[in-house]
Amino acid sequence: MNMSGPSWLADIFASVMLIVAAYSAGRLVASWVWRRPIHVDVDIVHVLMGVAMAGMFVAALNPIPSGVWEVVFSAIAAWFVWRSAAYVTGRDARPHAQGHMHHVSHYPTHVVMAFAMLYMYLAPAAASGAAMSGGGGMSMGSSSGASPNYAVLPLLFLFILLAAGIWEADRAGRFRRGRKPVEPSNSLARTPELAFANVTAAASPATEATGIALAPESPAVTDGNADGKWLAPGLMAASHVAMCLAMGYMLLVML
Amino acid sequence: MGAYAPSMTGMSAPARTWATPDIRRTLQLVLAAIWLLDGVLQLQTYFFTKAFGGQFIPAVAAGNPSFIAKPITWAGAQIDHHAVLADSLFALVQIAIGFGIAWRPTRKYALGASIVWAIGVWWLGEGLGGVLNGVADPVNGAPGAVIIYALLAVLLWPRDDATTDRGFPAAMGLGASWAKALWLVLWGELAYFAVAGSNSSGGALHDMIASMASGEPGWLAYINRGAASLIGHQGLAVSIVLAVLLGTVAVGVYLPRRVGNATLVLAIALALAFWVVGEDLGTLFTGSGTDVNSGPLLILTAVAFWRPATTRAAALAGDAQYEPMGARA
Repeated sequence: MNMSGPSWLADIFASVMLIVAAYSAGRLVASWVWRRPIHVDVDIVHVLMGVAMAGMFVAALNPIPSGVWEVVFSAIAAWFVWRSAAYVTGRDARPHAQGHMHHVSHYPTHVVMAFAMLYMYLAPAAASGAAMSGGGGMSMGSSSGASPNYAVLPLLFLFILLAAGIWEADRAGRFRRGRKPVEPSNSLARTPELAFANVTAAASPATEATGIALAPESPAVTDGNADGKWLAPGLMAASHVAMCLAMGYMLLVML
Repeated sequence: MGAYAPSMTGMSAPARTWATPDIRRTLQLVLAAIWLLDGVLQLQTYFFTKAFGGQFIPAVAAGNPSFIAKPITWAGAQIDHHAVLADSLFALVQIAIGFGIAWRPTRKYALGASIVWAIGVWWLGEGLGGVLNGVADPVNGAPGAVIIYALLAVLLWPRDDATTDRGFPAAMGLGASWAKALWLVLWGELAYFAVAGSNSSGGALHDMIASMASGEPGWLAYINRGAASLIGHQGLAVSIVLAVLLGTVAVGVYLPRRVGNATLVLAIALALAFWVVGEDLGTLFTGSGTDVNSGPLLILTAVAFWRPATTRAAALAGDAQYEPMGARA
């Protein structure tokens, strides 16, 4: 069984993950300074996952013990499970019809990502008696992967993450420039920390027939304090895709 | 693909929209995800070693005519000499195809590139799937998984005249007649190869499935051994039954809708059985699997031929994501 990939490839992935983490941290600051809406939970998760995965790819980059990461990703998993459940049961304050496609893919994807991170910390420890490296974290070069008899779970994670990356890439067209802003709908205008702006289905019969039209540059969604423009949603989506790809690769080498 | 939608405020300025993927677009996205998975698989350590170009590639040349085998041997030598560079390129190309199909503005280019790439890999990486050297076996991935990628790209080719109701998703690209003909060829040759070449002997199927167990997880190896034991030396009889079933699937698309769809279910069941028993899920657990093999692709193809009870042009019009809003209303 292949336990590790080329070190130079791990370095590249680690670099990308650090860039994603730094960028996501920057988004949190920029959002606060410029009062632009973002998905705070997603950006926080991207910061944490970016740092954690960089440490997985290159052990020297991980200053935090695995136990701490396990707690962190357990909490993240619980958070997104709760958000998913709230959405499904209708207790989520966010409008459902308009945000349907986003929320359906958004929350479960992050649930899977969180559980995949947990798996990547827990499986090697279970398989090799906590063969940890560096600062206590696992790394590609030193850790053992899952026992092949239990490899279906990471394979499932891998499929879901790559599918999520493709799904996000398909939806990336909504971030293309050149669109004109759309008037806010009443239901969306004062919704805090909402998904990328949505054009109401009710506004157009064609939209009802074909799906929800999304316009992230639109002032349709504001948090009441912001100017209504989401902060670089395309780059956030790119960060998400990069994370899915890197995590998928990590899971693959652990099979 | 450019389109314009009047905004809700009545502005006439251009506004692009993102339409929810319909069944046809969804199939394209599944294909894209499989390409992406293949690209990631190509990043496994094994493919950066000389074993890939020096052993893996040349092995598929064996038994092929020299005009087929020589380019394979040459390609293997080149990959052997530039293992890291070549494999990095292979991985990048496949990842780019995956994301290219997913990114709507580039999907046609990516699908076109995937056809060219798939044909090249079918020849140089799979030795034409064993079609010419007598080792092709539908249970083990004949006629070569990668050529089915090309077939799917053709069947799912985006069309702008999306309002035409052609009955099933695969018909949108070429039209129903050509799509059905391609289906007939695909499953017809699977039926042929089920009893041709080495499969005409009693123990071939048993030996092939039993050999798959090596390097696989215990549960998968258990399935391999169990299936091989079940087949025993009745391989020829099993192959004949398989050929009949595959032949039924091949002609199924020409049958009335209900019966035709039933044969599609049979096709999916067979593909699933092949994928688990004969292909070991594309040998993804061995560290040297290059793709998911033919099982999932055959399933994807079958779904593309599914005929809904009420054909809805709008539901199949997945390639008009940027069409003028209102055109579908």
